[in-house]
Amino acid sequence: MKSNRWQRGTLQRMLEVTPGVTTTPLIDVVFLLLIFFLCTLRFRATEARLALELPMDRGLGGLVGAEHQEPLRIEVVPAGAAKSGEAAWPLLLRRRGAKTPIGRITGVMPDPTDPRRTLLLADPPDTLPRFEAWLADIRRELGDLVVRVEAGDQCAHAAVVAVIDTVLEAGFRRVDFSAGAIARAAAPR
Amino acid sequence: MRVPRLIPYLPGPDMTPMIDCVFLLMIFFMVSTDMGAGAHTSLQLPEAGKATAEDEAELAHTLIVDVVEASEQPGGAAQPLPILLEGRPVASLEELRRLLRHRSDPKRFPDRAAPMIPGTDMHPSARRLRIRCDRAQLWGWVSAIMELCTVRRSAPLEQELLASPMLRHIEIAVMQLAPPR
Repeated sequence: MKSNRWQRGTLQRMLEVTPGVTTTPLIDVVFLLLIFFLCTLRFRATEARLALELPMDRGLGGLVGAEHQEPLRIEVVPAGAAKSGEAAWPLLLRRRGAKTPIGRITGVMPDPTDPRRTLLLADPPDTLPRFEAWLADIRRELGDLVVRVEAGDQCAHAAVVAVIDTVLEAGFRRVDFSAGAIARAAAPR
Repeated sequence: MRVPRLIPYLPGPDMTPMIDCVFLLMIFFMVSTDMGAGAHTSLQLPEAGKATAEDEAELAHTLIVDVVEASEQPGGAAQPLPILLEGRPVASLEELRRLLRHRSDPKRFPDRAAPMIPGTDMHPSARRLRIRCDRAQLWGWVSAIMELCTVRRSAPLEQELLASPMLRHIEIAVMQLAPPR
């Protein structure tokens, strides 16, 4: 009997002075942090880039004048807008799966031997892969021309990026741009 | 005396593996979360197959300009430009040019590999400019931003040497598209 009572007293004392730290507040804080990071989570976007080099001497459109070489001009106009009296071939750009086109490309290819003449395209490309094949043919024939993308201010960014991408895919390295109306308005006269 | 055997029978589950897991998850989320400035969440970038992956080492020297969709403009209709530099809206294209010049500083960061600006002994800036434009936004903003990075012909050269950001390396941010072939 006496030894039993002694044991019970020891148990009580043992429970009161259990060794170790209280982990409850720690777990509280850790869960709080975990929920915070879960809520603010945004995965690092798998972002890529199209790297371009701007000419530094003459503003946009300077690459061409600097090298006295007739560029391959590719004009991008907004979907629906068509210029009259232009030897143009239509190229509709669609975002994948979308019904409505986001842009239309008109291409004017000057004959490098005679700037007044325009090469007529026997088989105007109407899709991006055919446009790329067409550009690749020109590159094989005429070498690494400067390609000047003349895109209107009202074109969708995606349409112009698709054109630049196709130009790069076709193997051209020097891409130039013409300054649009917004840029011209910002620049001092 | 059986005192030592009392300790393993203490009430409550063993918390150690759970805390291990929680810490692991926390470290994962901390590492994978991108809280960098200048990265706008609701931007829908265009897709391109010829794109190159971004270089983490270069990212520190890259200025980031976001062109957001008109409806996402931080100041609503009162904000005239849908353009943000390093996450902060800018009031005008000329202000953007001034801020870019301040950051690009071609005198402090000259790109010696690039040819000098004709008629001067200055190299363009070695810093890079990344333009992150929403796919539905107008191309005019991008061409305007590129234009103000150059040395303009419409202004006197001495003035342009002080005002132009002289940013030569331009990156257009896109989503990588797996090549179809």
